[in-house]
Amino acid sequence: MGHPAVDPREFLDGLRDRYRELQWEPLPPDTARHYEEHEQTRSRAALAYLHEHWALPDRFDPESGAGGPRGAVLGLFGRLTYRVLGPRLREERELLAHMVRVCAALEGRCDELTQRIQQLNQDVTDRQVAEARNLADLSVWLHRQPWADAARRGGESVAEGGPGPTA
Amino acid sequence: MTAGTGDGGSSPRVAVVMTPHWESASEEGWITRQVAGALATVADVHVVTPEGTSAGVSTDSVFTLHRLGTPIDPVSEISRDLLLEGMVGTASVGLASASGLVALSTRGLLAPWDGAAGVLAALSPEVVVIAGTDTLGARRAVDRYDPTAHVVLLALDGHRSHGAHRGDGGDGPGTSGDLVTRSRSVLVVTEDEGMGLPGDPAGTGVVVRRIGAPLSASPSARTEPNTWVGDTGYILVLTDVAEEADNEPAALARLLRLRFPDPPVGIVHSDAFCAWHRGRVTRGWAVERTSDLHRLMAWARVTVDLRPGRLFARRCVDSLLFGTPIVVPADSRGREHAERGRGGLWFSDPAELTWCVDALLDTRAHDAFALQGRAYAEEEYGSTDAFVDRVLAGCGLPAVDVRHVAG
Repeated sequence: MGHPAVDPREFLDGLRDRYRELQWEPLPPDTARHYEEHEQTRSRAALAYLHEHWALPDRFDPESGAGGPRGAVLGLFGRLTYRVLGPRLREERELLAHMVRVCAALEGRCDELTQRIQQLNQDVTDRQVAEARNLADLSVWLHRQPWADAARRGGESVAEGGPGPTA
Repeated sequence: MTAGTGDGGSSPRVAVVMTPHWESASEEGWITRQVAGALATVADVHVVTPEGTSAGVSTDSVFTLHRLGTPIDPVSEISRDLLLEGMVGTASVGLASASGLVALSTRGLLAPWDGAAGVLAALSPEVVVIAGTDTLGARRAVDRYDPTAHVVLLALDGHRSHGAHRGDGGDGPGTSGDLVTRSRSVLVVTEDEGMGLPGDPAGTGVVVRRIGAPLSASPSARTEPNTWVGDTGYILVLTDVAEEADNEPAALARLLRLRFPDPPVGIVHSDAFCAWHRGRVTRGWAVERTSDLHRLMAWARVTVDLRPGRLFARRCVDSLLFGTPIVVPADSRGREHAERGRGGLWFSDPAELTWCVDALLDTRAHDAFALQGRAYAEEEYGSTDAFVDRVLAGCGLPAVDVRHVAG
């Protein structure tokens, strides 16, 4: 058969001998795991739009106006308007550029925090499972302990009352 | 049906099976039907039962069913079972109390069989099989029909746990021991069942024969694993109690799924199947079909049966036939399959339960017990032909060579 015959009674006696002195101790606290950076795979379309469209026009486009005298008048007023509002428009452009950078940084931070929460959730679950297993060991240990104590007390009383030398 | 003929060669052999319950889903009911089926290979089998709302005769497969229409009051059976369970834990029962206990244990169980004597007289059976050592009313009916009739007792003695003696209050008339000694032979399913039968059958010349059971491992169970636990080397735990129950099997199942978080633990509750792995649970519907249970057994690493069947722990044999070692309570009928069949281990307390399961997860121990257990189960339970031969031999009927008849 390829396997040596096993006598279950002898096997069980061997198990009882091996576990005669049960050992149990609380679990040591786990060391915190280092955060591992993972790439986020979700869509970045909104952020991409911001990156592409944050630069608003800061000067008048003469091609957009109509031709003829009407176009000349519109171009004159357009250039005048942009010249007057130019500094404000450039400030707004800088502001928008910074807001887009902040959005990108916030998204990166959110990704990190999401990963961190998932990691913590898994850590807590793993710890709970390990604690439960250890408590199961404790329950077994406690279950056996009164029996072991009683056997020891029985052995001692026999030794004390018997004719032989006592340890 | 392949009914044989008597010595004269003209009239067919007639066998009667007397059972208090015919269509029972219990192990006792199942094995009674299997024995009747084995007898049907050589005889016309008539089943006599007190069940039914009115007396009548009908056909059930290859059997002729005689319902007496005088069903036994369930309260009487419960009272008897409680009395027997109470006496199992008693070292001895004094003679003074024995007669009182016997009267108490048979109250309401004898009268329902009164109509059976007439049925027997009409059939003139060659052999009468009485199902159950507690079926004293059937014995009384047989004696009324013919005190010398050939009686075979199908013990169905599931009251005793492993190694415990039944102590049924003596061997006087009207006791289970009396029914044993009245029989020419006693059929038992397991060796454990045959030990400590009431009435000292060995001392009175009654032959006790172990018949086993006709079981087989369905090849279809190995074709595809259960979807909730898959092919993960899981521990299969059979509890027979509800998931939220607050009793010993439920507590032991909880201990196992906490103690073994890494291999998945599939727990079969009466109301759900729970697959636990690393603290998380996947719930499925209750395992009700035998084929589903067999599929779970076929792919499990070890089967822990916390409540084996009280007659012969059928699920343990099924598991061994699939090559899955078993872990069972030390005081159960499953222990014989683990100990004599060398197919697993047994436990006396929760600590031993965890050691046994842990030990059988080891590949070397697992493989050794799996091979030994399967060889034992196939040898003693895996052949229908061998079962039929053993039953016929136990009943003193000649076996029929089916191949010869077919040819």
